[in-house]
Amino acid sequence: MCEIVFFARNSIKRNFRVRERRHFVSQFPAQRSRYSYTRVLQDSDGGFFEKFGDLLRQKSQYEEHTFETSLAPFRDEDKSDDGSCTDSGLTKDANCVEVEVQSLHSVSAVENISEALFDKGICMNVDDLYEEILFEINNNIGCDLSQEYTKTMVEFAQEVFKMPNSTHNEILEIAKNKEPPKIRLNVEIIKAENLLPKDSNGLSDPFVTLFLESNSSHRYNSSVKTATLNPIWEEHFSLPISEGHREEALIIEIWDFDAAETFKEKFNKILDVRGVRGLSRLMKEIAVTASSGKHDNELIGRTVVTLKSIPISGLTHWYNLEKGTKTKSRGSVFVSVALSAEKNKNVAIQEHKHLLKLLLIHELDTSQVANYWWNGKFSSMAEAIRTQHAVQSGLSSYDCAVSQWHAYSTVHETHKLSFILFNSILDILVPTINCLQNDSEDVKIFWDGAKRILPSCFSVLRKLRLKNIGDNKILKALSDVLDILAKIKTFEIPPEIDIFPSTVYGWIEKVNCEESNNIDTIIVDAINNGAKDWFEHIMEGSKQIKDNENDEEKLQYLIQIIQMIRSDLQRAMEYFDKLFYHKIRLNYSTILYLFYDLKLTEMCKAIVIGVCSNIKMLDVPDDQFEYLPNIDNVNMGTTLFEAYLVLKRYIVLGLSLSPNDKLQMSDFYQWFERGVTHWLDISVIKALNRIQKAIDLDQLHAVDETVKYSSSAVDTLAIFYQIKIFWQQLDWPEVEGSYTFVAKIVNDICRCCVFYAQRMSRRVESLTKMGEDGDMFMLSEEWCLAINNMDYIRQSLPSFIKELGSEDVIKRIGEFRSNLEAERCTNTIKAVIDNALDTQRNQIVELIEHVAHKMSPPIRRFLTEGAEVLHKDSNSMERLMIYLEQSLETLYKTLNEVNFSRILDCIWAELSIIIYDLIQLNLDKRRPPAFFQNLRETLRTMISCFKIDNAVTDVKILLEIETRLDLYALETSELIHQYYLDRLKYQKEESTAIFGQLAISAQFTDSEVTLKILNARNLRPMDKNGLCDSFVKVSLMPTNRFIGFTSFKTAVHNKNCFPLYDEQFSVDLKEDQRKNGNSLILFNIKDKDLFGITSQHIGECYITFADLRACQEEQILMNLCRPEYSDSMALRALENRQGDKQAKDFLKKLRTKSTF
Amino acid sequence: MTNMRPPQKNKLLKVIILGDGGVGKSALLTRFVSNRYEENNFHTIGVEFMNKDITVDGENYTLQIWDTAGQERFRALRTPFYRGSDICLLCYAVDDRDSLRGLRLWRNEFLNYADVNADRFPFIVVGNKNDIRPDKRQVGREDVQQWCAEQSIASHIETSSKTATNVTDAFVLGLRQWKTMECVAEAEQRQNGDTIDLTRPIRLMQRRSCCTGGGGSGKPTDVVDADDDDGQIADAAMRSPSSMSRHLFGQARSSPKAPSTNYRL
Repeated sequence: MCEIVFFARNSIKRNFRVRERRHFVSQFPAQRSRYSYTRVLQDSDGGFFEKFGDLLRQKSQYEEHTFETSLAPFRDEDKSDDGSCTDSGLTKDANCVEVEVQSLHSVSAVENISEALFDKGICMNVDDLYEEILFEINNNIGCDLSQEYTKTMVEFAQEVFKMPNSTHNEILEIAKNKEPPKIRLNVEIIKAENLLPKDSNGLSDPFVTLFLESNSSHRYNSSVKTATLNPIWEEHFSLPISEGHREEALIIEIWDFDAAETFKEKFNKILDVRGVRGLSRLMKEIAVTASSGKHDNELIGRTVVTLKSIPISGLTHWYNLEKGTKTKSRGSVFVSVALSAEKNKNVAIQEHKHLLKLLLIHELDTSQVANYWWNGKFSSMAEAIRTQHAVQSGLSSYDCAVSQWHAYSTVHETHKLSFILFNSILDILVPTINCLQNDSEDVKIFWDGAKRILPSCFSVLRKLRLKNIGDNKILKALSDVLDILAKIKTFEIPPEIDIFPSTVYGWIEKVNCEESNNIDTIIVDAINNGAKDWFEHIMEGSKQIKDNENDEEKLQYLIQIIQMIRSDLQRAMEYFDKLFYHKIRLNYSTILYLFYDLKLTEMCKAIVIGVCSNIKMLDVPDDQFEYLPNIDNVNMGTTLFEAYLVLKRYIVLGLSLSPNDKLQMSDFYQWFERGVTHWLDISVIKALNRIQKAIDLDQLHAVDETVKYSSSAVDTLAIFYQIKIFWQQLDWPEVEGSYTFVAKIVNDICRCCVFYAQRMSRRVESLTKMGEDGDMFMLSEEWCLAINNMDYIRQSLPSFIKELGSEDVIKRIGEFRSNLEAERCTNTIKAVIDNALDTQRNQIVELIEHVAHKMSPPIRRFLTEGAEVLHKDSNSMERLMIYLEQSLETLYKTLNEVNFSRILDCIWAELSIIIYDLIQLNLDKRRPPAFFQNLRETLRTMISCFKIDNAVTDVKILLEIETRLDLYALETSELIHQYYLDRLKYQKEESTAIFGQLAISAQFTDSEVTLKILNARNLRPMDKNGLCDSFVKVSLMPTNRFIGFTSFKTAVHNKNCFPLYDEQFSVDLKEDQRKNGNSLILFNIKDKDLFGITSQHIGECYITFADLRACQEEQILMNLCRPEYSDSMALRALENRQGDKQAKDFLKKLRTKSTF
Repeated sequence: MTNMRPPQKNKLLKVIILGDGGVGKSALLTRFVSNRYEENNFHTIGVEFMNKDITVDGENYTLQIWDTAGQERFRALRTPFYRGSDICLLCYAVDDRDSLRGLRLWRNEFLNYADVNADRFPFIVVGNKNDIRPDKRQVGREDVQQWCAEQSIASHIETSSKTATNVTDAFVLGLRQWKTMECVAEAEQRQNGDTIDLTRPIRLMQRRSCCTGGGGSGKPTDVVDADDDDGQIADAAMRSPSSMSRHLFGQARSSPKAPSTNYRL
């Protein structure tokens, strides 16, 4: 047996030394082991947590991406047949918008054309211009053109002017024969007033015809001003004066244009006119009709200006109109006339404008240029004509630019020209316009042109989304438009011009009517309007099922809208912001965001709050976990969470775009509060279910060699980790809510931990129920792993909670509220965690106790057998040691230190009970001391085996048991001696001497001891006289050690409580007697009574040889005491020896003694 | 020895305190748990949690008390904590008539979110701040008693956290109320025989026991006993994890194999 004990001791010692502290290092962030069942668990509930974690985030980002690329469908009309945008609803709706846009266009087109028509009435004197052009071609300057080239030019001109051959030849002839005029009469017909009404409506449609008296067939016509008696023309004419002009007179006639049939017919035709070709034809017809005199026009009046009356500086004058001899006032006309040697510049410019229009119309007509495409480049022939006219009329580049501005802007109304063109014209115009007076002619032309161009510019801003962003043209166009706007907005708009007529700018938000519109406000309006169109478009486009929409669809709808808005913003930031800022110092995407903010808040708030209020409360299990609810069919709120994340990201974008604005959306999270509690409820239910599943799947094998826990622990922490990711994703923006939610999560996780511990215990307990055979419980690794699992989870809890960032939240509460509140929050979290830790610890300890308890029966059996038959050749001790060693080895290898020592304690507790029971049982069986000796040996063996390095265990209880065994193992005489030793101990502890004291001294020699009985003090009086008659009796103990020794007595000292005995005795001692230090000398002080029959006991005292030897030659003063039948262990042991005569006698004697 | 669990097992009860903001819920809790009174004004944020061990009629309990924020804006945040409650203290302030009127809403909110049977649930109506001057009092006892009768709530008590009047009594009242209802429920279940729906938790039957000892802290346990059972006074020290020996040979191991009673160490 000794060998085995030795072996056991060594092996455990060895184990202790090589012990590594390697497990329970918090290997936290969900390391996925190949042994873990994470994947299975995910599948078990459809990956609930994963959805709430990374997957959802990835999804939302992914969708943003796809939306970005699918923005293309919202395109321009001329690309609507582009096959690339097959993306379901979006395309369809893009088309809707296109139709709308087109109809807008067509409405304005009609207006524009009718307006343009009257303006283009100027072209009525097209023959003159034609003549001029032909004349110029014939007399072209600058470069030598061959005759042939001249011919083609003439042909081209005829084509441009659409001249019928007869007229062409006629005019060509005139032009050929025409002498270069020396003097010209430059006329400006400014306006007329109070004209005589000629039409049934009380108005007239006046136009001016002027001609020289000498050449009445060559008439110059102004445009027709419809339905007015106070027309304003401001038109220029240049009439060549032949020789002998002094008698010449200028006739100015104002006619009522009343080509009743012709005009109306033609006007009606205008409504049907489409495109440049038709327009130009019509205009020409009208012009021909007007100038050929074949009309029903009615003369309103005429006036004659003689050239003689015109001073060289010119004349601006009102002329009364006359007709024949009629005296009735026919109105007056305001005319400016001047003579000059060459063509008046105003006339030239006017001619140039007309020429440009004609050339451009022809150009567009022949080359089929697309809208927004023509950038000012004519065909070479047209360019030649244009330059000839410019040069021969002496026009500067600025003059040309003014003409171009006018002409091109007019054409732009019906056929869109490139913005580059206008931008470059502006470059020339701006410096000069800048220096002009507001009322100058050019300024007026400038604003007229601007008025015609601006709608299309704003249209570009509004329709930015119509273009595919991959198309560079949109950026180029935007860049030019912004340049144009930037240039125009440097000028103050003249107050008399209504540059933003409401008919054209119907889309302007009439929010602030008081403020007058300017370019800047209209730009913002245009941007907002574009955003509004886009918003409405996507709202409609995404709304597929309008009726019976369920919450899920509503949320999907919301997400889709936001993603698209977001894409729009991203596109704005990526492509447009830079342009807007560089060109006009405008933060485009900020304007957009602020616009969307309002709209989205309205929409989202309604949807989210609606959805949240529909959430049904879940049946969350309480802390006892009697059942786990099945929530497979419950709406997980994933989409709601997705919406939350999307909105959150959206608001982050907003904060970066406009950090200074109060965004409506910034309170969005409040709408989700109910949702969050729902998610938390779901998570806890899902987590509990997953934990249960993880435990069911757990084979209770160590995950790998480096750790000592099994798969369910890893899986459970992975579940917690998922909850953490959810929490991080949630990232609740407001601190008080954040705290409350984190408190809830902490509470939930704590509950999960407790649940894990509970279920882990059950699992491992069920394990043995199946495999248990008989009373031989074999401790397996599974038990240890279960304990370790629980402990691992428990120990991971605080650090995990820390990872949730609750401390940070509380810190913010401290800043937001006060330290007091923060402290209370901290305490709450701590209390919740501590509760969970305690509960788990208790569960661990419970399981450990359970294990120890299971080990108890075999140990008991071995021990009982062992003690019974120890003296024989039995192997039960051996078997016990093997059993213990095996168990302890498993425990030791697998458990951590804390739990190992816990289980040691528990095993010891069990052992103590077993041994105690054994002692009790065998006392009852009146076992001989030898039995207890054996038992004590067994105990010591086990102590040395178990307890080597483990001082923490409760030694006291072992000492008690050991002492007890020591006692029971003693022979009776030794037991009696033990009783006296106990007495001595008691005597030493007693501080007061109620029975008096005895003084002695002693001296040891080699062969004897000499005792001096000196005196006694303060003896308790025994006699009626209050004194006593005392003597001392000395005995040596134990008696069997001093056989042959008889006690001796001193003389009696009568009536004295302080007797002076002063007697000396010597006792011969053998060496072994002398050396035995625990031998006792008993001093009995008795009162001798009158009759001398019995002596009354006053008191007694003891001293050991050891003490005596230590105090040689000194006076030793001892307190007296009286023997008592006290509840001492030695006495109880003696009581148990009922069959022992010695014990029986001793007890009897003691009882008698103590009855005194 | 702190590794080992304390020998005694406490019954664990979840208590929730509800009532309008400012009626003194947190003050009540603080007085009960720490016997302190916080003069500074503060708001509870969401929820607050404390443990308290208490011995009533010889039985040991650990009360897990959830205090809630009364402000309306915390509504969605506090309601998740209602579930699993065993006792509900409905608090008002005696100087605020509105706070008494509010109790009906609180009770409904609680019943709604805690999902319990209104007739079987121990509600205690607690009138706080009864230390105020009589002229400031707005709620008379009769008003409350009438209200309680209407709501069929049996228990009403007036307390003052400031002067520490009736504070522990309020909780003890709740506890006794709970116990009464527990007994009724148990008796009924026994009557109904064994046809118990196993899918639903029998909330009132089996109480989980715990031995947390207030989070392991050395907080004292309140001892409240019925009038005359002097022999049963549980001493707080017994709960402290004093010695293995007591655990082993004391009352915990009262299995047949345990030693006979006269054995003491």
